[in-house]
Amino acid sequence: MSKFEILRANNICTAERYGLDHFCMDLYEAETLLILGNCSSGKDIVKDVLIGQNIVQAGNFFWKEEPIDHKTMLEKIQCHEIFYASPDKVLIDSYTVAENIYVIRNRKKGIMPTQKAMNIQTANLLGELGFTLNPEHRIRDLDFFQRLLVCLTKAVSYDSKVILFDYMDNILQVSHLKYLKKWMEKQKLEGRSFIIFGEKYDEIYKSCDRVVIMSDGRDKKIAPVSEILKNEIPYYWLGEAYSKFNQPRGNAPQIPHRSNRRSEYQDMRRNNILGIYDKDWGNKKPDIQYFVHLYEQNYKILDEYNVFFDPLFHNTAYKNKQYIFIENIEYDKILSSFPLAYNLMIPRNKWELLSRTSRIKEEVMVQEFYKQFEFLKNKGRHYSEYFFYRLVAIYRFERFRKPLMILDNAFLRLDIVEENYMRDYIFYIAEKMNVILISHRLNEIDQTAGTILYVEDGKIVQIDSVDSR
Amino acid sequence: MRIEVWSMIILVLTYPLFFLILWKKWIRYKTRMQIEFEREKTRLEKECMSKVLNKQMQYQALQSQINPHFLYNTLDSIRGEALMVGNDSIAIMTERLSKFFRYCISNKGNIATIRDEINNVMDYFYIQEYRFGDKFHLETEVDEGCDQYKLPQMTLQPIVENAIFHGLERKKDGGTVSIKVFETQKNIKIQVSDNGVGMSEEDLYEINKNLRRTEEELSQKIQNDNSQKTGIALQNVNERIRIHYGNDYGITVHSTKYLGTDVMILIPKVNENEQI
Repeated sequence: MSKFEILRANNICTAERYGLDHFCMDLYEAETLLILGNCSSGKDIVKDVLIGQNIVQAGNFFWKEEPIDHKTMLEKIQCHEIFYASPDKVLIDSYTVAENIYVIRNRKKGIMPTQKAMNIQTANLLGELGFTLNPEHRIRDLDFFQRLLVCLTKAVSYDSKVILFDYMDNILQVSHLKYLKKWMEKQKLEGRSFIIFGEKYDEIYKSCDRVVIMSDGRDKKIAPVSEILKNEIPYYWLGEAYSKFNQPRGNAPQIPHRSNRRSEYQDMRRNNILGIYDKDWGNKKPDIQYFVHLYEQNYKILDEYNVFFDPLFHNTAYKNKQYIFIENIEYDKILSSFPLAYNLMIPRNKWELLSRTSRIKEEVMVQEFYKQFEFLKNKGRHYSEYFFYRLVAIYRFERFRKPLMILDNAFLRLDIVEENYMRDYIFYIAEKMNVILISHRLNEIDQTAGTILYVEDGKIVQIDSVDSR
Repeated sequence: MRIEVWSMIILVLTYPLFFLILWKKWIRYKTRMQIEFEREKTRLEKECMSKVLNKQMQYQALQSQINPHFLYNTLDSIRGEALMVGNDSIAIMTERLSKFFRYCISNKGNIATIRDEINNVMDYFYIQEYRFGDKFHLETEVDEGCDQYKLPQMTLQPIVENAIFHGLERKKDGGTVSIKVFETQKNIKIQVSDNGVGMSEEDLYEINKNLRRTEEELSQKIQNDNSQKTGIALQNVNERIRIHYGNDYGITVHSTKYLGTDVMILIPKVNENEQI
């Protein structure tokens, strides 16, 4: 079956100093294309070019396999055949959902629909798309995901062929992405294509059909998502520089041990925090046996880190467990199903399980929680639900007083401020117990852990300590 | 008297007008001749370039300049001898080699179908297997109905050869070359990928820069540097595609060190029965 090419960019160059350098991409009908690039890769310039906010100095565009000039490209954008679903740029905060969908719809002067008609038609459209939004709500009262849905509704109302949007990994939750993926699959049946701009290749990766990996204004690789392994992506991004740093497999018989890793956080409590960096960690279901196998395969090297691994080898019957393992997957669902007090009151032993808890005790627990995390009371700043659930999860187990706590992807999807708070809390916990942080992203544990073990295929290939000078 | 004055005035005005009209016609004629001359010049240059590139390709395939019939006859004799002594593997190899050379040197207007090109690559790969054993693998994935479309002869084989010798040969445990052919509404896209050692960013930049060169720059380069015999396969294939189909078509290369190289070929759909 032949593919139908909607848009192709051929050797696009822009005038900026670090602009696009002979960038090529193609987009087919009913496809989701992920343009993946780090912060200086040029993906924002690609976005600006595709929405007509940047002029192309050289190169060609093809629309449905016919060459088009810049003027024709602008006409396509103005007719909304290419639509950028950005809540900041498209929506007006003070208008309602229905008004936002209708605003600047019709350039010709004529009879505009009444408010009631607008609301009814918008409600019908939202119903068709499966979005549970009230057309009369003002945009400023909606959260980011709901605003994104309004933008997507507007794109569908224009019958856009290509819809662009940014993947905001620090705001969108796992459930949001699953919902978006299902919705995009339905839209693709109607011939719509999507281009998603992102920096991280976690959950969004699974929602896309093909990926364009960008670096330094160039396209490094274009391939279906199924043909690229996640742990190969840094190679494409950083190229030779990354390849030199990482030894090819089988070439490093000795474990290089470096103690010159610099960190902004000169906190002695990080000596109680061990980081484990494994690129494959995100591919498998988190399992405590991973740590046991890791120790068994590398026990000679991990001799000096016994204090972290000893609690794992105590009697693993539930009542005698000497460690706490907090998993990352599906956490928000579990915690959100119960009130905060119930979450905080998880019993530590059978006596607590059988004893009654008074209402006063529940209130005291909640008050103590908010006393520990006073910043949560700051109404001027909205913290993500994910961050909140994570804090609850760690806090409720903190009182169990076990010698070891293992945190899976502790900083996943947190923004910078939330990351700082989480780091401070982990340092606080490290005063009382040892902590193991495990992640498939180095930057998540780099600034927090005192020592980092680099793991590949169950073997430790490198050990990194913070410079103590 | 008055009539004579008027006739003088008319004559004085008519002559310059007459010369003006003649002069304008002359200018128009000259412009038309120039346009036709330019057109003819471009056509001849393209034809010349096409012939030069084809000759280059044939020369690369037959470096020893052996008479092709002598070559085919010799190979057939070797095949016959091999069959007589019961050595089937040598017989098959010489048959494939003979087929390969016939295809390279044959002159079917220098245009072939995708089916023929893939078969030629498979013959080439079979021959290479004798040298490298099980080290390399070839995978082909051609969309249904795509193999009937036309493309310039000897488009795929030089790229596959590059993939083997620059990509896979240096890799300790070998690798795979995959050829994927799929169609869109108006074009055919062929991707030749290998999971070899890739190339450095500087080399990739140079290659893509050469591929983007215009015809004038390329003809100048060929004139100035006739002795260059290696490293021109990609450029040669790219230029032949552009000469046949225009500058919107051709080759792009992506590569990352240690991970492999992808070569994407874009050509328009031309059916077996149509003419390019």
